[in-house]
Amino acid sequence: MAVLTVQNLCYGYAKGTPFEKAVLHDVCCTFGEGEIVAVIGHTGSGKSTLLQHLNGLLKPDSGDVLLDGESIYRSKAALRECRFRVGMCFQYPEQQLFESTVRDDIAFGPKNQKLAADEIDRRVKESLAYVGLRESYADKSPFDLSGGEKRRVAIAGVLAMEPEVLILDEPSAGLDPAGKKALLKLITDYHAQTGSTVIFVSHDMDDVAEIADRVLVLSKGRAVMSGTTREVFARADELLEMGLGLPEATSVMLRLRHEGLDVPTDVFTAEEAAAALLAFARKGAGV
Amino acid sequence: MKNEVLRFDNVTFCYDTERPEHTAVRDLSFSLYEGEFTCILGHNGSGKSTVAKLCNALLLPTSGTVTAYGLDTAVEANENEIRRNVGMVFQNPDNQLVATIVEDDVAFGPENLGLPREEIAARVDEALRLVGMTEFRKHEPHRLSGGQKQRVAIAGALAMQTRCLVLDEPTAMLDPQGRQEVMEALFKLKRELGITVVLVTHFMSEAVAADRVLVMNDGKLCMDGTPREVFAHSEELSAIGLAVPKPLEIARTLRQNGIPIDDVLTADELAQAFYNAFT
Ligand SMILES: Nc1ncnc2c1ncn2[C@@H]1O[C@H](COP(=O)(O)OP(=O)(O)OP(=O)(O)O)[C@@H](O)[C@H]1O
Ligand SMILES: Nc1ncnc2c1ncn2[C@@H]1O[C@H](COP(=O)(O)OP(=O)(O)OP(=O)(O)O)[C@@H](O)[C@H]1O
Ligand SMILES: [Mg+2]
Ligand SMILES: [Mg+2]
Repeated sequence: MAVLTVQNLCYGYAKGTPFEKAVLHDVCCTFGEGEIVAVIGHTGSGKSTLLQHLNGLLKPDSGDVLLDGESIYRSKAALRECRFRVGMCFQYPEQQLFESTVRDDIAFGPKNQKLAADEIDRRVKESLAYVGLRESYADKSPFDLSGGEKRRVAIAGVLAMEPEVLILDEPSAGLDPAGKKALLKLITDYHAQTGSTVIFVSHDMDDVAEIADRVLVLSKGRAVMSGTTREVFARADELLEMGLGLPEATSVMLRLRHEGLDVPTDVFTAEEAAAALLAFARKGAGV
Repeated sequence: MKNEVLRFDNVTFCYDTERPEHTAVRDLSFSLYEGEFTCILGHNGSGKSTVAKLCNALLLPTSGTVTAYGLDTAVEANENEIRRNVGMVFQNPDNQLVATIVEDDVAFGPENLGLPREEIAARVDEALRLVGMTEFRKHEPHRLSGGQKQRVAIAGALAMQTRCLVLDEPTAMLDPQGRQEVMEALFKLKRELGITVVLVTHFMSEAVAADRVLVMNDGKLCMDGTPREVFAHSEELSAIGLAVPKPLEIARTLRQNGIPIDDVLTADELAQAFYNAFT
């Protein structure tokens, strides 16, 4: 069952000005309940614009967005409900952080949801721990943090709302390798514990390969591909053509194949690549 | 003799001197030389951006000295000369984009240098072309996508044509092809013009091609060497929140399972090594 359905969505910025620009063209896609979906696409392909429609921050010029089968734009109340159910973390944390302490920033969403004070407190602590920040960060100003620390606070703020649909716009950008790994685990844990749907944008194909069930590819404002992660990465040539890439492990296998070794190329992570190469070696050595 | 471009002598920096426990970098000493391509790695909050800003006098050491092209960054009279020689791309492009039109933004730095109009125009054209943003030259920077903003910020620094460029995670928001293009452009600057490049990054794959890698941990410098030397320490790296490049990880697993493969840094090297082991 689809949680979110995007129907024939068209959107342009700066309407009625010389800069008017059609950005999304007749985009149709669905996000199923409990799926982890990666949205990928070249710079300026329309990923952030599409995401901002999924919780009603932008309104389409034509077309619609349905949450559980009903338009999120049908009434003010529906839009408000959508904002609580669909939590969104922006591409630049600076777009999101504004309170004077990290604690207040994370508490902002839960407060709006009119939760009890002790519940808010619990969520703030839990979210900070989730994103790997010590509790001593709660009293700091979000503006006095390093880039990656800001990113973590922004993610914590969305998690604290415990949304049914978690939307993250390039959540791993600027995180150190351990932070990245922890983020991917956090996403899969949150997904497993709550059954939530997760939609995230990434330029890192290794992240996509690691956790996505399905991939949606945008190019020049159109949804040009959608399928399981395996299906999408199998279309390597088309992805490269669009300015995208492949998981590093897949690149290694393709190069070997190019050299004439008969190794599998539907391999996406370092572990899978090592296993496939070992299997190849043992077979070759007649073991 | 190698020319020293940047020199840190026992540099400590604290954002809030009333709270010394928040010291961001501690007792750093190192030198970077002309024409070197250096990557700075380190966990979130380890002090990389602070180091970057210390390089061209955006921040001044709380104690110790930073010297750029022989000039002490703490001497106010040196500031203009230092900024003319050490260019900077900030971690967040919004902190850098100042004008309301892309081409004015890129022209902003060269204009401050007092260059002739034609020279400025030529530099802006070239810089926008290098980052693939020519078609957006009349757009408003704050109405661009995340990656487009990042490209404009890079163009602004390129247009300054400084002898040294410090870039703080310039590719964090770029698509794979854009990332590759920027890396190629930087290596070209080094190769053809002898530009000194300092690149802060979380992509281990970007560090493998550098001449030198500095690793920060909790405000201190904890490793300094060629990529091969640094990435040989995979356990130490993972203990401080970092990792080794994926191809190396794969090679290590293979070796542990009895396949004779040396340490490799790139997908190409791994494919080559595996191929050699089996043909
Ligand atoms: N506020 C705005 N006003 C006008 N045009 C905009 C605005 N925001 C984005 N655009 C344009 O819309 C197009 C799509 O932008 P969007 O931010 O959705 O891209 P994206 O896929 O998220 O890119 P990136 O990977 O760089 O973040 C781009 O060409 C961009 O220049
Ligand atoms: N303006 C500021 N005021 C107070 N403390 C700050 C400020 N900026 C950074 N810090 C602190 O200084 C330390 C170093 O920050 P810095 O920005 O140099 O880290 P970084 O290595 O660049 O991290 P990242 O990878 O997340 O960008 C961090 O602990 C951070 O919280
Ligand atoms: Mg975007
Ligand atoms: Mg930084």
